[in-house]
Amino acid sequence: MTHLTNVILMIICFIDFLFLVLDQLKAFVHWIGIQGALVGFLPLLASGGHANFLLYLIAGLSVIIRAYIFPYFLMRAVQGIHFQRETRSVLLIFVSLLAGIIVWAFSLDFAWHLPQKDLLLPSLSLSVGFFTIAIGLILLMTRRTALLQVVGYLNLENGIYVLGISLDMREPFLVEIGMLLDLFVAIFIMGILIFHIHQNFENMDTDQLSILKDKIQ
Amino acid sequence: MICWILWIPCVAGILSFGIRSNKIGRWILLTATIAHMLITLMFWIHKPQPAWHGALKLDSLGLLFLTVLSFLFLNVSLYTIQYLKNEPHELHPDFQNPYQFFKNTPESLFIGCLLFFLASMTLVTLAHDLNVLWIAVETTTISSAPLVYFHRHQRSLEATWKYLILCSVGIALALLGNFFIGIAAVVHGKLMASLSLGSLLSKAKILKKAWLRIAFIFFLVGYGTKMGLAPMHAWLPDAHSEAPSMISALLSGTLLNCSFLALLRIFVICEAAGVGIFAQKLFLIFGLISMGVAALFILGQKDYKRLLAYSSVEHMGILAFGIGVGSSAFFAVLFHVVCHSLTKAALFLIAGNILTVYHSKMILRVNGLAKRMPYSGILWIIGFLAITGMPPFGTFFSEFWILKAAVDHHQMIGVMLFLLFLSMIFIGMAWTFLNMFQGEVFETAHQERRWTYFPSAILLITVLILGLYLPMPLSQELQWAAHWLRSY
Repeated sequence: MTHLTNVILMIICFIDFLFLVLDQLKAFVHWIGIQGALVGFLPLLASGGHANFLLYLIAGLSVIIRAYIFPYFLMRAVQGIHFQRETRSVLLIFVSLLAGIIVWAFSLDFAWHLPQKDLLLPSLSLSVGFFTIAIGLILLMTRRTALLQVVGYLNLENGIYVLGISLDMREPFLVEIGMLLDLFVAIFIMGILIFHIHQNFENMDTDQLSILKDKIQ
Repeated sequence: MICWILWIPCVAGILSFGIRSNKIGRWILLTATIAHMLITLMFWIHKPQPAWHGALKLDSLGLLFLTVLSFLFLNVSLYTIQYLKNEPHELHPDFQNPYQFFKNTPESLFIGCLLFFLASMTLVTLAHDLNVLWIAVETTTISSAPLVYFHRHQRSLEATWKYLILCSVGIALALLGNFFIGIAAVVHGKLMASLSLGSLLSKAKILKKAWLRIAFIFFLVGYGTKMGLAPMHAWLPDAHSEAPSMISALLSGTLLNCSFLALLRIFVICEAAGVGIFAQKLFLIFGLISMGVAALFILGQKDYKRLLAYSSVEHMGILAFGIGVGSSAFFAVLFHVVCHSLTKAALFLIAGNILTVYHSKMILRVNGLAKRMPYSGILWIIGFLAITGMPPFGTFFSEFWILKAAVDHHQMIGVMLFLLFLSMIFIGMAWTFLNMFQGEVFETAHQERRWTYFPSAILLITVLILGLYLPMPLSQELQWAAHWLRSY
């Protein structure tokens, strides 16, 4: 089991690195779906074969929503957009990769300082959780396209989910459902807003969202 | 009983999603808010039993915030119903950019979201479990985003996007705070079963302080974003200026309070665990930064709705400052929550009236309120006096008591900065409000309808009465709530 878990965690980490170099919008949506599916399976692996019905239900719902429904929303939102890639300079890609490696080193270091007794998943999961959160924040801060900001937010959420599982934050069933429902509605509304941004402006660049500003007099 | 107050707005919200008739939808809104108010009043007589295994519980602090929420919501929904009646349903031009046409969000959707917004904020006031609290705060963001986007033009789209993304990320960070509290509560290698307030407080002495400090920072950044503390306030002026006025009133008067309540709950845990001083220092710093930022942006502000929004940042700063000052200010802070909410909501509603008559949010385009809109004009000036803390309004006493507590605790630098920022804000606001009030007008006086100024008048009169006479039950609840905050 641990072996499989490690492989899954490494794939999640690999996808994080991919997000730093990708520029095709569609590829982002595909990969965030795959990452979501992997993240959704983790609680089952963490339970070590002692999963009960509710856990299966949560994992199933989580996989369906993260792997199918979110990519579907996002794909619908970007349908018919001519501009299909966000171009960035090679230097910027290089810098963000470098930042990614540094952040990875930091998250390995950080995970060692956490209390590690009775962790359900190997301690690698803590690092992967932190790393995924950090990459989500980097995407949110550096990308200009509305769609990529949502991908960044989803990445952040996936990271928090991994962290939660590896710290054994087992919430009551209703709390889990509530969190999933909140995320679902949030992404739904973000999808609608992306669609409206695209209709109202030429493309989805959030740089254009700059009418509202204040200056210190 | 405690669940009823949640289910009623939820069921009403679902109903109004399904009903296409605008008239019935408005009736549903009114009925649900009146029912909400009645149940809240019943809670004053008899506190309800906890529910959901103690995750929902109404204490004095919750009751106080719930009452402000309910009272404000009732007044705002009276305004909303008439406002919606007068909104065009077809494509209409944007008055700031006449070449652009837009449509409003369908009314059924708007009212449904409004009711869910009410339900989620009610849940915040009742939640006694950090996970439930987190879900409730997150739900307030989601349910209010469509409300901000009521007028579907580019500016409100921008505001909604910023609001949704910034607050969602903020709240996600607050979830990390929950995890760190979980780690802080690891006892003999075992995590605690639940993050209920009761169990955390009873075991507060064995919480690990280092982790609790990290958790508090995450909470302060996360919920602080939602509360509008600078420098995480970037969404606030945009959302407040582009949302329809009654939504701005609700955001300022109730939503910011909810996040503040969440922070207070966390603060009590910190205090009980012995890291209260650390938390208070952070509150003090963020409070002063917020007031300073607000002062800088209020001076020379060109847009009166943004001015009110920055004033909210200022008042959130005052609340944080008050908590940071020390336990003798807690009573004043809670009193300030009540007074600020009512005043700010009233001002936003009047700003909405001014906007519909003058068709501009620019301060320089609005003058002669006294002659053109006599009722709203007078209320605008009264609101100005109340929000800047002039006697005999309630805000004067709350700000004065906070200041007195700061002097008592020898926070001299804090006191000086506090006074400096307040006077800068007073100058900025006085210039704006008086300019708008005075001046010659060539148009005839606008026929103001009663519903446009009645709710604001009620709110402002309440603030005035609270300044002159604090009713016994209210002062008792305030005392108890303040006592709860310092009893650990």
